[in-house]
Amino acid sequence: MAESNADKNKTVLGYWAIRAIAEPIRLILHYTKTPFTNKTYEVGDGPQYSRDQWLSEKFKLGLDFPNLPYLIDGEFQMTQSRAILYYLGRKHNLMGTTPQEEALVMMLCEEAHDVRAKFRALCNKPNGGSGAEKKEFLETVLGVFFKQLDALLSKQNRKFAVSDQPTVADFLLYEYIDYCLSFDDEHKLLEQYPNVQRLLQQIQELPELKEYIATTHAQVPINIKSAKFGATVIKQK
Amino acid sequence: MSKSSSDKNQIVFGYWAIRGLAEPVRLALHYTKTPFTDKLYVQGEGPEYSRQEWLSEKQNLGLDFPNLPYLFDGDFKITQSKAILYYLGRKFSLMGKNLNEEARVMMLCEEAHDLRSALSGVCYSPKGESKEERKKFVETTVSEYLQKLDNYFGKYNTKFAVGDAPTVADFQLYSYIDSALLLDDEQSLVDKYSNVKRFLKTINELPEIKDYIVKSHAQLPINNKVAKFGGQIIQNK
Repeated sequence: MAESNADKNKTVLGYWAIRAIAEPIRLILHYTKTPFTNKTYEVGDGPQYSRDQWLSEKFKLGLDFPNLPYLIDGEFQMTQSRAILYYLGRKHNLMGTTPQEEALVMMLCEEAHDVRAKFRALCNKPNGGSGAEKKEFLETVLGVFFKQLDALLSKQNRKFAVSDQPTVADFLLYEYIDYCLSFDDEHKLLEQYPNVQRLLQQIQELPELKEYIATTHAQVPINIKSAKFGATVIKQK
Repeated sequence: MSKSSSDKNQIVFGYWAIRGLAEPVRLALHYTKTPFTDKLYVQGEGPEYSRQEWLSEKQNLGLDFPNLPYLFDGDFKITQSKAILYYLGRKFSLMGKNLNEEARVMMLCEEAHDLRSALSGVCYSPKGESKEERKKFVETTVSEYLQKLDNYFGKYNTKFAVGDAPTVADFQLYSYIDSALLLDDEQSLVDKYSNVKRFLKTINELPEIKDYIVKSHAQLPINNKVAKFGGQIIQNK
């Protein structure tokens, strides 16, 4: 089905021109083949890092709580990345098939978000995190998360994180883990957690997403320009 | 219906003996008259502020990502305050009447959570000890948030946060605004936002929870003992 402009204009996702917390949402929209406008805002170069491109529109979009990311879906508008994720998840049946599965989906998204927030705090430090700080993050934060996640995946024993069909948790986990692993120069950490590794591979190879993921990883940075780490595209193995 | 032990053991909600991130869930449970065990962990006194009461159990509860708060619903166990809130919201039909209302419920919960995080940031840091910093927080962060919420209530003009029946958003908003307003020494900020003031009064007077709210305010501080502000009961006017 050709994507008409009208189709694409019905759904608009607005965010900075980076992956960060919008990427799981973009993955869902691509996975479900939803025509949408990927509206991106550029931050100016240093040292000012002007946010004017966003600020000049921020209060003119009819958003109740103006913020990025935002989603416009026909007449409906909303903000808050996790609310958007769960809304699209409900809309497209990507929240599991039972209330317990849905709760697991949300728990995984919230946990991964907490881990990501700690990663991002390091990226914003003046030196982008020292070698020792990065190592500590990998061992104490990411390593612990992987251990718990690996055990859960083993216990669940399904094709994807929560069930045999993908859920929004799979897309968020994929993106946020990929993001945090950019600290792991030696690419060794994941080898200890085969269930986590297998899940990431499953997502990366979904026919609906393979090409999109390859393109976006090659072209779009994870972090905003003012961050001291991840502000430009990182070449991955 | 009398609360038998087995009824109360079906749902167990574990958290510190404070309001913190747990109060919205407790309000939802009380509102729906759901028997539950309100498992409270007490932090030790200074200067150690021992977390041993929790740490001695943490790894032995069968939680996939051991953390507070946690919820047991029979054999089902989850963590993450928002996942728990939305899970119970779904269970008790407190998530709005349709997809769009549900999205708004979650957006409001996420917005309120951001406020609570900012509040914790102040209270648990040296800023919490400074009257000037607390005043600044009230006059900037809290004030901006209340303005947006006041506009929101003015626009939708409903009795509760989303629609004319309570949702979990009401409990989240009420708890976190109530906590943030404790930093307002003069207790006058909310007078500027008549829609918000009316909303708070509506929730405060719900017959199902009014007694619980009075008790909770009298017995549970908003923050843990180690906090620089709000770790003890504060008398409200």
